[in-house]
Amino acid sequence: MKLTKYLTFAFVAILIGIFSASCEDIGPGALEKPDGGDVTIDTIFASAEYAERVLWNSYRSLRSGIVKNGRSHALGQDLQEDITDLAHSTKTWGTAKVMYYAGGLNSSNASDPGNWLNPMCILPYGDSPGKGIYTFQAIRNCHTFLDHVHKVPDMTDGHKEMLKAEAKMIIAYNMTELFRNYGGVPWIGKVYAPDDDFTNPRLTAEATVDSIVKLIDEAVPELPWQIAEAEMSNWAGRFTQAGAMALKTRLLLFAASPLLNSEQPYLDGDAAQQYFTWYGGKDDSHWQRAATAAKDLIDKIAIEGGYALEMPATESVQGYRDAYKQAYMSRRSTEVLISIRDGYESQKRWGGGMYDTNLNYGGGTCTAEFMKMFPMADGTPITDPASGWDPAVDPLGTEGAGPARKYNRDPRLYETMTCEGDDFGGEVLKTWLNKPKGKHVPLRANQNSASTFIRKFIPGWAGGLYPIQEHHFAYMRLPEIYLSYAEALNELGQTNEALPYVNMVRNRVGLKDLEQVGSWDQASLRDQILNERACEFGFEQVRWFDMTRHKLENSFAQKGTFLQIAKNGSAYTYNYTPISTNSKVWWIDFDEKWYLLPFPLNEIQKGYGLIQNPGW
Amino acid sequence: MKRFLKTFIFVCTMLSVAISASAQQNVTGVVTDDNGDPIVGATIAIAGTTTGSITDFNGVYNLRVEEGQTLSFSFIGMVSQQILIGKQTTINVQLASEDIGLDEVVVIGYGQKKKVTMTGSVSSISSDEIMKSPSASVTNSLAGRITGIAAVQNTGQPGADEAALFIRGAATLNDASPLTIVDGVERPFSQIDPEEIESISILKDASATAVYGVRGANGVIIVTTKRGEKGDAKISVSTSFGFQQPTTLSEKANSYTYATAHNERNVNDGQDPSTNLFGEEVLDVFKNGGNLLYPDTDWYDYLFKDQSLQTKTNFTMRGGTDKVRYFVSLGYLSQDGILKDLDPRYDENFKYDRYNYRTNLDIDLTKSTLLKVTIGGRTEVRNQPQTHNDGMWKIAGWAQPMAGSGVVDGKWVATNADNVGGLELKDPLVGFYGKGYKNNTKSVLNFDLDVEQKLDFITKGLKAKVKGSYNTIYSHIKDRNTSPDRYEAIIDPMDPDKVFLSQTNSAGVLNYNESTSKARDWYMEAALSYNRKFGDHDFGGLLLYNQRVVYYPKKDDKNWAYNYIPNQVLGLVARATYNYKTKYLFDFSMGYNGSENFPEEKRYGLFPSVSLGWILTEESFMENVGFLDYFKVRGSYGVVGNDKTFPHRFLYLPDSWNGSTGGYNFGYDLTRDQQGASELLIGNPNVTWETATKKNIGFDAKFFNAKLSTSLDLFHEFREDILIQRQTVPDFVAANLPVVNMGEVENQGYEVEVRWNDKVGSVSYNLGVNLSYARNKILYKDEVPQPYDYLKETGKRIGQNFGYVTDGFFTEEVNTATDPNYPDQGYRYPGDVIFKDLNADGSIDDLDMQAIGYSYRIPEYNLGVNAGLNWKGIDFSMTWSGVKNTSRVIPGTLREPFGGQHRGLYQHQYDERWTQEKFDNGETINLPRLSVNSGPNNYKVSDMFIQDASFIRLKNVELGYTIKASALKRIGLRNVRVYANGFNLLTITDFDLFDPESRPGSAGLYPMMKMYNMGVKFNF
Repeated sequence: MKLTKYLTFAFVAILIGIFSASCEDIGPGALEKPDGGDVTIDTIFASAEYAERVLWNSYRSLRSGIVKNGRSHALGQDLQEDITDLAHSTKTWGTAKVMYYAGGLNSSNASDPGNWLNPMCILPYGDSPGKGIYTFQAIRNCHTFLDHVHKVPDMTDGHKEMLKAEAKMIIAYNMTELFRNYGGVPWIGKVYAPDDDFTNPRLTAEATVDSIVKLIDEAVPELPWQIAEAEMSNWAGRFTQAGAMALKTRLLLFAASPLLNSEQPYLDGDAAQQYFTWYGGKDDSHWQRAATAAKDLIDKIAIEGGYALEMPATESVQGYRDAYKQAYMSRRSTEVLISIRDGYESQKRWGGGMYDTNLNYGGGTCTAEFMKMFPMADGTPITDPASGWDPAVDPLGTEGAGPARKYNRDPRLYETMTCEGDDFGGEVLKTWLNKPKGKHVPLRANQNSASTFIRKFIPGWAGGLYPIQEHHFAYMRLPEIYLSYAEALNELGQTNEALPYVNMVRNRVGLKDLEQVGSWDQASLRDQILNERACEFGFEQVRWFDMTRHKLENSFAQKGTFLQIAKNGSAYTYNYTPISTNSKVWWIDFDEKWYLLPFPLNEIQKGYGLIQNPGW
Repeated sequence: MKRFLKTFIFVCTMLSVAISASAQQNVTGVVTDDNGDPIVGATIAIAGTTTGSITDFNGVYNLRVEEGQTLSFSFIGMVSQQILIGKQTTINVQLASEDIGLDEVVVIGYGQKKKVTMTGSVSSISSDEIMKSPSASVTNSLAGRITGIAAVQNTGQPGADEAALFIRGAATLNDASPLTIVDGVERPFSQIDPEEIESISILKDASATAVYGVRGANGVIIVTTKRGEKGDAKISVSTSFGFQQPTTLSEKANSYTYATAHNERNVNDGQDPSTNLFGEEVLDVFKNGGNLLYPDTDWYDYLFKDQSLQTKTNFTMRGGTDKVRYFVSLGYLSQDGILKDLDPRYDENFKYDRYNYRTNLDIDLTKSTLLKVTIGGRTEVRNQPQTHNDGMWKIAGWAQPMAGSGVVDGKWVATNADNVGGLELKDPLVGFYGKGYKNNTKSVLNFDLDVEQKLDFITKGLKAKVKGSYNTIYSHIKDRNTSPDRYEAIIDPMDPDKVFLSQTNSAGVLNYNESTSKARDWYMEAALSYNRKFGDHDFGGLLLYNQRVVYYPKKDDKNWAYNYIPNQVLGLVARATYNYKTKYLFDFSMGYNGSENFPEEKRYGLFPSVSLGWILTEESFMENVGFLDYFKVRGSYGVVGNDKTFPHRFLYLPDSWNGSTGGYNFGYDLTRDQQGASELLIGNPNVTWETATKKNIGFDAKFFNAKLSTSLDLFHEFREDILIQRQTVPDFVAANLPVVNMGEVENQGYEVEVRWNDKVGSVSYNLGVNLSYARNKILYKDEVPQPYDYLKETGKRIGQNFGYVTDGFFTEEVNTATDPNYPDQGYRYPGDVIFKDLNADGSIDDLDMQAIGYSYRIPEYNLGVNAGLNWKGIDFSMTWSGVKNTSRVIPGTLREPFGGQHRGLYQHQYDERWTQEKFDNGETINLPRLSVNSGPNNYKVSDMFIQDASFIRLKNVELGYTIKASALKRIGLRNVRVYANGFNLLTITDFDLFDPESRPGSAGLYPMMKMYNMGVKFNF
């Protein structure tokens, strides 16, 4: 009996022992969150290091145009050029096919934050982190930064002003992207709290442009002209004054274009009547604003220096190609005004992203029409009989080997698409159809569809390994400023004044001045500038907006063809076949509604003031 | 206590004797039970009068009566007897025990209760029934056996085949899974050995669950393990052996059908037949069964074994002395996977081994002190192949019959894509073959210590109890990765008549990686309970404090704040019960809980419930209703709560930030990004409890000497302040908005149970039917306003499927954009699907989707039919379970032929497709024509692909024979039982694409299995 009593006490003692070890955790107080370890907005803005991180996080909203392994983009793993007349995706499951070719895009599926694989549009009106779309989050973060950065104790006022200017540029970038995809949009001018009044109707197109320009103009004087030489290796890629002025040029050129600056709206409807989708009339002063913005930047470069076209080391095909490649590919390029980075490159990045979705599965297959946009190596358009170009006889100029190879086309052609027989990262391109199975370059791409695939951004591979190369997405390069200035001058009737700026871009790759290959009036120069832009900026996300802002209905509706090369023995034959995989609804039935995107139905239904774009 | 009762009864007896002592004749006698033991307190009444008596301690009664009167002898739980009085003065009566289950005890929250006095809605199942199912997971033995629960098994994968359980459907927009309690502590139970389980109780209404307050809103499942019983050691050794087979495998097309269909699709899409991928010669080869160059492989047949084994061995020992009682159990289960052994380097097959052990000790330290030691644990070893990023089941769905020949003479021979026109081949072996395996060993240890001290010295019936529990889980994962040799069959370049195997990949070494994970929590409770009867007044009370700390709270991949803080739950429980003469029953219970998620002033919630019961058969006016043995009506009303909104915690705190998150890659060659900082969750200072108001009304009745028993429950639940994310906030706000108390859901339904037990000669049999119905409706979820009512989720079921409505097939080529006869869905060809333009706006878009079918989550009707038979040692039983009002969306490749590209084709997709010929012949056509171009249109989620997944299946059947030969006794055996049983043997359903119970997404799943099993059990 005594023993059992003793035992009882022992057990009770053990029980108490077990639980008293964590005695402070017992009782109502246990539910209080323990102190310490919390990161709040005050913690963030208590130090320069963390405050800056808010900005670095916001920079993520700058969207690269290059497909990356393991990460989807707004267009899934398709390229923006795949929905233009320059290229076509033969992937049967891609966004390009489902949403654009088949006409599947509508106001209900234009934005889907849920599933990273779900197809969407170029830029959804709503964030989708799985696809790297942080538009609204970045704008919110930047406003938070603007509201709080004054509290940071260990930062100079000058530095604060510079960072604020960067925050404004991130907002301006995102608003510009929304504007050129949607027209006038609601202005997001503050950090919204959960119980705020959310009423926020669309601004007119004009008010949207002016608001963005105001933001850029505020930012410009506070930004450094360029990142200091010593800082470049660590900080290249941040917004600079030149970058801000470039974005302003792009914005104003878009705003001045016929889509918005016209006698008639592209489509009638509520949104048109309230001037969300156009200015309400045609006014050359918009072109003048664009021209001035471009000229300001050109003049400032002339004074300050720091930016220049990458020029060839030798006046040879290889020299031109190297200069052009350096221009768009390298982070060290002197002509990049706005650079976008989605991380540092690794082998994996190349293996999964660009290689698989494009070379393996059929994205970025270049059309014959795109191939034909490139002039001869001296700049003569191929349509000129004097060019001697024959669609059936070595049209790419890459037949033969070594010195026998002519390379008689625009050098940019060879950097933009894979041309049969060309060198590709140390291997020889074999792109004729029905070649025997084996390890071929590029992979076993595109099966039976075409012989020309995207080459831009893809460094090729040697010895079966994907190279690690320095890499970024050149969002804006100096040639765009020249071509934009030329375009605006031409629209203002100053055709002859425009020519030198086009020539600067042509000369860099060895093409003759325009004056030497033809005579130009306003209309033909307009076409030529758009053509020049396509050749210079292929796969750099310029063409789509050229097609929309100039309402190039023909470029949408013209059925594309593929160049298909066959090889018998050592003889090549060249066939031009209408595209049969994934035909586009536009080829049968084009609708102007495609010039701007649909707002998501859900957002409209939330009733804060969105009005749908016409036709959707 | 007993002494007090005896005294009390004696006093009463004396009193009543005194009162009635006025008549003519004195009758006396002894009332005894089945065993001849005297019954204390039996009622003896003179029919038609109010006079009567009660037996004393010795079962003796004494009564003055008149000749010709009838005496009625009754005692609760016994069959009443009527005896006509003649001249005799001594009438001894032996009452037979009325087996109407009135002594049955049911486990409830923090205690147990006699079933007769239950006022809440609780159903339970005992160990015998649980053990009838050969399924590895005890969760699967609940289907069809018990009302109010939906048990949905999604896959047959060894070690992952447990059923998802839902009590009375769902009433929340958040997680609707019930709380599971094992021996009083929150723990999962799906992998506990069924041999260890004494009973499982399902707590359904507010009265039953209020004691769990915060956690009880979705219902509670209480699992109680077996404990020792006084007596000689009873030892059981059992072993069983069975094999499993897939229930339903979707049939895939063979190579010839595949090639024919693929060519047909190419032509349908307007291509020239010369571009067909499969030429005539290849078709001929396929027709003749294929060869190495052009294979025709039935992959499911190739990959899967005809049967996979399951064995189970158990040892249990139960017994005890006056002071110490024990239950000891050891169990071993081994379940083999479905895969054939293809790679000799290692075993990659799915496999599940489970070692369960348990020791439950009850020690009477003193006469008034009970110590309970409960140690339960298990080691689970799961083996499975390493799989491709897309998962092996998805690739198996994608596989084409000509993708490869499998492993031929030890070599994996895949098809050369050029043989089949460069088709992107999906060899299912890519999904797992030669990739290595993953072996996960998980050890779970649960340790409980309970001390119960009777405090009769303070006041009789008072008891104190302290419980402490410590639980740990430790997992060790071995990853063995490698790669296989791979060959492609090509024509020998030297000899065009020979096939040459060209090696395209060489095997790698078997790499080794390991990782571990752990979990740890403790639980404690301290309680005071009181149970005492004062005459007809029976009081009970409970006051309990409990607390639980979980050290490694689950986290999601978003890296939310506060993961480093252990999760705490604490609460106070109170219960008061009272009954008068076991006739009028009253029950009040409440939980008072705190949650870390809410601000101090809103942190604690009080969740009370009250319930009443009335046993009509105890009333004198019901005495003459002979066929009715027992009738109780009961009702309950109460409020329970919920605070769970994974993954967010401390919802009331102000905005939190992550200071080291995704940043940006500046500079030239910096391999690391500059880190970023971003806002996490915004706080909601007003956030508080989600509450459920539950009402339940029901009756229990027994008829014809309890041969027929029935019960009915009607319930209604209103869930409000459901913690939801607002949906109507514009996207441009771009904040991680806090949850708000805004959602509202209504859930109602009924449960009926009818059971018949009888004995004819030496055959005893039983038949029971149960039906549960629960239907929920979303009342509010801050849904974005919809332009049409049919688009709204509000007002519909949780998990309702939405889709387009089809309207037959096009029979001619039309441009619907310009043809006024059709809504705009682009250019369409014969055999394409026509959709209904629900909003009549002239085009087909997302505004034309409406509710179709039912919820994909939980079936609304759950039916069970149980039958059993016993005859001279032979026993037979079976359980059918059925569900109705549930739908499945046909996923992925099963919906779209070739997966929209060049992937797998199922036979039904070929058989049921639209062709001009079939159309002209007037055949019934279920599926659209084969076409890539029309794919996005034709294979939208529509009523064509949302299908009714109702079924009735023979969940369980068992035949056994118990041998009790005296010869056995000599070797110490009490008896030996041999038995055979089965699981999911037969399914009646219209749904035949996959098992209607499973729920594969587009990623596919391990198939559902049926099982044939036999075993023997020795009882010593």
